[in-house]
Amino acid sequence: MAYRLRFTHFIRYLVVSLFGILMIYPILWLISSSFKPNMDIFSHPGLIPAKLTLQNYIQGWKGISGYTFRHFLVNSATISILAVIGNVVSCSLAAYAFAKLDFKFKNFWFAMMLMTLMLPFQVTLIPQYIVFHSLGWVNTFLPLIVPKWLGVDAFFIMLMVQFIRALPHELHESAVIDGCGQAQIYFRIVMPLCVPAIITTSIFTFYWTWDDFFSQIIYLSHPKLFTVTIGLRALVDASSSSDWGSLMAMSVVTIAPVIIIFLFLQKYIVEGISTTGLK
Amino acid sequence: MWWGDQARADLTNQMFKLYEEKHPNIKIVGETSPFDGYFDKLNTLLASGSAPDIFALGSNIPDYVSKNVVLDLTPYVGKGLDVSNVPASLIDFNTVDGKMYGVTTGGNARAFAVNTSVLEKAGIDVPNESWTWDDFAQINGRVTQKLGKGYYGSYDPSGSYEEFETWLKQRGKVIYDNEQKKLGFQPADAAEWFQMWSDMRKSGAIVTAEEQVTSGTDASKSLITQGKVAMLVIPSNQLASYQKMTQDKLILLPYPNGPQGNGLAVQSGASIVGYAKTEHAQEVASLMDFWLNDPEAIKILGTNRGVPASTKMIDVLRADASAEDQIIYDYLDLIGKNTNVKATINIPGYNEFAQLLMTASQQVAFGKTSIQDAVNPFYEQAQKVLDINLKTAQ
Amino acid sequence: MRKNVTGYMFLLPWLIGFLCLAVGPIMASLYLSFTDYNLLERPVWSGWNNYRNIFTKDGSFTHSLGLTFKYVLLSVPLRLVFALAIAMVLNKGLKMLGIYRTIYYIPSLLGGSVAIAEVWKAIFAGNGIFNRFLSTFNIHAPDWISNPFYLIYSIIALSVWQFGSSMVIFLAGLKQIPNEIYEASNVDGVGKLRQFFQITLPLLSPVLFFNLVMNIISSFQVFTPGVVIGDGRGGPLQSTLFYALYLYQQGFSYFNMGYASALAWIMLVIIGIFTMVVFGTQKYWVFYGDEKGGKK
Repeated sequence: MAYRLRFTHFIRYLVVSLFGILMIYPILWLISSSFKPNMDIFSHPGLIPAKLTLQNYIQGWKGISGYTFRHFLVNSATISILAVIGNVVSCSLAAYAFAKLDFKFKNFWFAMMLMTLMLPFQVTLIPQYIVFHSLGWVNTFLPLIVPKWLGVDAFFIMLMVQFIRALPHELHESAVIDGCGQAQIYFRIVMPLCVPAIITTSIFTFYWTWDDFFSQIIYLSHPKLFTVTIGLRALVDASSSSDWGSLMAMSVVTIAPVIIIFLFLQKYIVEGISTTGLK
Repeated sequence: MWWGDQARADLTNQMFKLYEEKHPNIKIVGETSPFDGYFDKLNTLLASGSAPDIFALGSNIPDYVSKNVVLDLTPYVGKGLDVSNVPASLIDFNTVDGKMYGVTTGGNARAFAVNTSVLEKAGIDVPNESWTWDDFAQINGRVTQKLGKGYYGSYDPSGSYEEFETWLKQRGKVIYDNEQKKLGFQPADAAEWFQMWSDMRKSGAIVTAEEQVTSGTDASKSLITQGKVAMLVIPSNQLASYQKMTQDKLILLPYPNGPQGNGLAVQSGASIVGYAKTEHAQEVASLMDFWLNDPEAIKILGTNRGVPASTKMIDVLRADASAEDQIIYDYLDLIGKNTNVKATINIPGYNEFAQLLMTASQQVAFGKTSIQDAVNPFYEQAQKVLDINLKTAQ
Repeated sequence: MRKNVTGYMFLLPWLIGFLCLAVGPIMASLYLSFTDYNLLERPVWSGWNNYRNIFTKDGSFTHSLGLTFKYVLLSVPLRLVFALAIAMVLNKGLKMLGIYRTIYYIPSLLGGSVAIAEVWKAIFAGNGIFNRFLSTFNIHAPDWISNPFYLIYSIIALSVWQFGSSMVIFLAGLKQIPNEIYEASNVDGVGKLRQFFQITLPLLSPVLFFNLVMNIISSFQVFTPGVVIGDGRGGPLQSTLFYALYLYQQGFSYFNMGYASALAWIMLVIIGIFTMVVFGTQKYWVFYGDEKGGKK
């Protein structure tokens, strides 16, 4: 019996590992390319570099107009972290309202919220720009952060709605019977149970903001405000020659923080709830 | 605002500082953007009425002029903006309906980059500027024959706007006839163009359709730098990018000659224009004049965007030019000797037309349709696009 | 009455955001869809022209719509299947779980990465690693990158490779299912397969529903993969001309913003219909903790 268990365990490990290698192969390729000299990257596409060089990292780090990648990393981090906090707060509030509370026109607003997801961003871009322009927020981080504090990412509202609704209703009912106000229920009961959802929201918001090229290039004009995505695209400029080596190197540099954050946070998704939370 | 990488940004900002020193009451704020996203940003700025006083454009000047967002520079010519040393072809490029709108910041011309080592290996003499399309086809054929599989004579420029137009000019035609406000060529012309390339593709003399997609426009992946292809059309100012990826010697050759010569002219790779709603028109003209004519400014910028527009300024740079830059200067001299080449007036709706041309060429290349079936819808749609864009220009 | 106040208090941030940042632009884009607007000059009213032209004269519209449908129909199910399968495997307490989870998740972090697109192109090119692998089995595969007829599959593969984000959501959902339920059913002698269908799926259904809806909505709007893997303009031969890319082209490259707005609203209607249908089927297969008759 124990033998059989170990065998299935082994198979499981094997499958997961093999598949895992397939999954990260492209990333290994990326990392190895970042250490190859420019000319070799496409002509010698093996995983092990024939010649090793750190030149790509040094060159790529230089950035644009005297602002190095350290600068871009700081900018991206600032925007992303503020966006995460904003999103978690505003989306969870709205989600709680939609999931547990009753109020007039609730269904109407819910439909409206969904609709904001379904309209391709290209057409709301210009009118939104005009709004921000008239507020004088262009060339600042504000257009990238403030919307997050106003629950603009309906994706996460939906996510949390689903999580909250999956919780047994008795929790809520018993709290109401005990005389808790909605705010207390929200803070003390529902939110702690939604830790996986909150963590998920944080991770996603972080890297979506980190990765967002379009909004950043439209609203940020001065190189001192540039973010990593802009910095990366600048390396692949079609009007001069593309510096693939630097691109590979800087991509590794910019992906690393996101991976580290995920590694750090992912066990909280795991730890989720233990059933003792129910009573 | 302009597009480019950090090298260009550094040089440009340096030049601005110099200008500010000479004009202490004027301050310039330079904004750069990667090429990817530049036009999105520009269009957004224009749409919201907050565009910079000066910005860079390329072949799409007429499309912006027709929407009334570009400053008419004609009143400033001779009154703060000196264009006396700029060759006629470059002025024409920046002129729409008799009014000048832009100033060239980088001149170039279409050219065939030729990998002389590949030709040598195939035992072919390097042609000179009097070669013809027949010579071209023959050379391609011999490269494949002599060197075997994986070697090609040339890449396939059949989907490119500038290349098609050059070929048309060799026949006294153009893509867009501005006087008559209609297409300057017939479906049969397009068919002949595609047929020529199709024949060479079928015999293996030029690259396959897939290879063209993979490496046709990227210097770092190009087979010409790997010694597998002998010829490739580039704008002359990209010679250095290709040369630095290979030890083989690359030279520039004008197009093979057609009935009326090689149809080439010095063109504007990038221009700067003024914003129609600028509040500083005189200063705009002054900066443009500086950019064009000041020797110290030119020395700072070098050939980063292409060759300076003013012939006088070219002489300033020539003295210390690198080997590749010399090749480019010599080449442009050669092209400059061309007379009677029709002025380049880009078609309204440039982006869309260029896309239609590329699609038609790919349909033929991938064998999706016959040439006739690709050309007819292409011509029809091109006509429609032109009509729409002419209408909005009124 | 008091309920309303509380509800709206919670909803306030979102409501402000919606009214200030979303309504205006949405209404504006609807208005623009009935105009000729070249971005740089004032819009000119043109009534139903744009819509009429889209449906009667625009081959690219049908082509891009078809291409996008193909993408959605192939990539969404595959993503969800992989995401759920791997999530279940990873949920069972393997050693070094964190590392594995991270490995599977990393690809989805690289969405718009130009570098990864280059890597992908190198792997799936005519003579890339993938094809060389296949040729050891004597399979001669086409060029997945430069051949317009096969390019879509490498883009679908890229999307499926990034199933990690859906997987993480499934993991979170799986973790919310209390272990006691499984233990209880083990005691009752319920087999693994039945457990899956009678416990896991129903309790996971809200999360599954979410993943399904979200994946559908975002897949319909696919944009970046087409741009970074193709030639940036829908090619070669319009094989990467996804609907969102076509829309963007019309609006920003061809200066037909009115037309693009009309295209956008058509897409919204299409997505809306799909979403409504899925929402409508909710009561047949999705079980919420706050419903009577839900599995307990």
